[in-house]
Amino acid sequence: MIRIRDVVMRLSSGGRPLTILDGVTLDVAAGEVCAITGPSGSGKSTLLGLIAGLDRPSAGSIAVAGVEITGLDEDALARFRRETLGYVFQSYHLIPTLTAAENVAVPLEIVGAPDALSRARGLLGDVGLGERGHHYPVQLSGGEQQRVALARAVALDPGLLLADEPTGNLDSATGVQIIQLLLALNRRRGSTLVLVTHDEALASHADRVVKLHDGRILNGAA
Amino acid sequence: MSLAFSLRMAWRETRGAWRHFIVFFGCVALGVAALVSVGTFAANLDRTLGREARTRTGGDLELRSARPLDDDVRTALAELARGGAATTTVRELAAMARAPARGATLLVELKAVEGEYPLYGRVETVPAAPLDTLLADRDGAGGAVVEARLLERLGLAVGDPLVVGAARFTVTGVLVREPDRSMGLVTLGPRVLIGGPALERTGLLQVGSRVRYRTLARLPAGVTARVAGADLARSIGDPAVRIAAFDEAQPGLRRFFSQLATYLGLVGLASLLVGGVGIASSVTTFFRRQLVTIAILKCLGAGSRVLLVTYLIQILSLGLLGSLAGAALGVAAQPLLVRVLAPFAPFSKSSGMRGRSPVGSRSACSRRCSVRSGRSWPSAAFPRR
Repeated sequence: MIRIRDVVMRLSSGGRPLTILDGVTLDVAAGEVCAITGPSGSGKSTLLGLIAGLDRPSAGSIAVAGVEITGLDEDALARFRRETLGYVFQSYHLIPTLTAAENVAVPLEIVGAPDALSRARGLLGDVGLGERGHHYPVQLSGGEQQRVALARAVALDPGLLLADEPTGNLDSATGVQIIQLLLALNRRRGSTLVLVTHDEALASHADRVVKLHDGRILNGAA
Repeated sequence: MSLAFSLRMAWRETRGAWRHFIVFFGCVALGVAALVSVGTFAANLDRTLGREARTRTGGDLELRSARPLDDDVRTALAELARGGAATTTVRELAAMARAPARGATLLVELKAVEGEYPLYGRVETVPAAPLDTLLADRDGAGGAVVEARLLERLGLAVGDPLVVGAARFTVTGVLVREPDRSMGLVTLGPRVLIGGPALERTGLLQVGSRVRYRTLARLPAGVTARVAGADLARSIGDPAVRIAAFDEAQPGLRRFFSQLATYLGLVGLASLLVGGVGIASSVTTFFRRQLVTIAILKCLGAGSRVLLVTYLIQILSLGLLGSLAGAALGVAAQPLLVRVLAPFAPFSKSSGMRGRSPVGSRSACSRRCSVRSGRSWPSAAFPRR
């Protein structure tokens, strides 16, 4: 599903070059649940962003579902994302001016799906928020917002689900609920799941754990 | 990916951030309102001036000179009359009027008219009576119709005697409206309207008298005023006689209103430009705040064209709505604009309002003393009541 080869990511910080990822090579098979762990600043979220095409590597190649994404332009990347993957952010990133149901409906409306809102309400029901569709994000708790984000991420039945610290802003009890929900949704759809976390307990649910340190993979590259 | 999505997102974003758009909406609406109100005001004035041009000129053609018309001109006018035109002569001069009982005097604008006057419009008087009747001689004294402020200044009433030059008159009515009075900035005094023969008896027509001779002509149907005027000018060949068609008379008035409209238009444009700063500021702030939403939408797979269309629809719709609201506001503000501008204009607003007697506005008239006129703004500039 994912094929990463010799990916290097360098940024400039205060005029000095900073290497975030240093020759990362990684394969993730279709249907696999892969956890990327590591300390803060190890490059976990950067790697996930590169897989989603949110950023471009300084060197190396990334192929997702057979598509080499490093050479795609912005619009092609947007099309790639809506056809291939769903993304869950640590801080939910719901659109504040839209209700919960409208937030979930956005990916469906972008592709022109019929009955987007009613399908969105169904997805909210799947995450236990069937009665909260008319609420705005500000009226929802952190856990509820993350459940809305999960419903939005799986709205188009993507083959790949990327989750960046999905429980990072939640208390431990709510975090457990969210991760169970994430794994259940992933199992039900049979999609590939790559999640970034520094929580060892959360990582233990994965089929494979990849450890990153200072931009290098310490184990579990393939 | 559809336009429907862009429309839906534009609506949702506006719905969610309407407070933010109040500034944007307000700037557009106020700027457009300023331009529309000035433009409408100017258009109304121009249309009214055009519509009332014949009445305000007093005829289709006006021949103006500082001395009596000579025989050549009279012959040319007689030729015009044979073709079906009606003509009349008006003589205007400044004179002293005296109230014989009190001995008080007042500088007045004397106007002597002949039987056909007025060729267009009508003279309104109190009491309402035919002008011939009011100006007719009685007991050896001519009839005089005067403006209300003359009565106030000289302590006279209708029926009292009035002396102008060597002739005696009786005040037979109050002049409410005189259709062809020119709109100058300064007048010398109140109007006194008398008959043509009575002017001869005043002894004011002497060598050196500053008399303005106006000959007015109403042309038969099918004769173009400008063409007839040009023909007349060619046959007369006297540069001392100024000939003007109704639509080219009183150029100063039109110029005044044109300049007023230009000035107000510039003020409106300046306000729109200042409003533009507000618009730019609110749009910039809005998009800065929207960057996260735009990033989320891109992450969810929205292409740049969809995002561009979404926000273009939002801004253009709000701009359009603001413009429509501004246009409505501009039209609705017409009465207010007239009310605000009236004190700065060289016209008496009150006397221009229909249904209100100038007798009732005497105090306002007298406050304006000699630098005023009893004339009105063009009626379309004011709501007709």
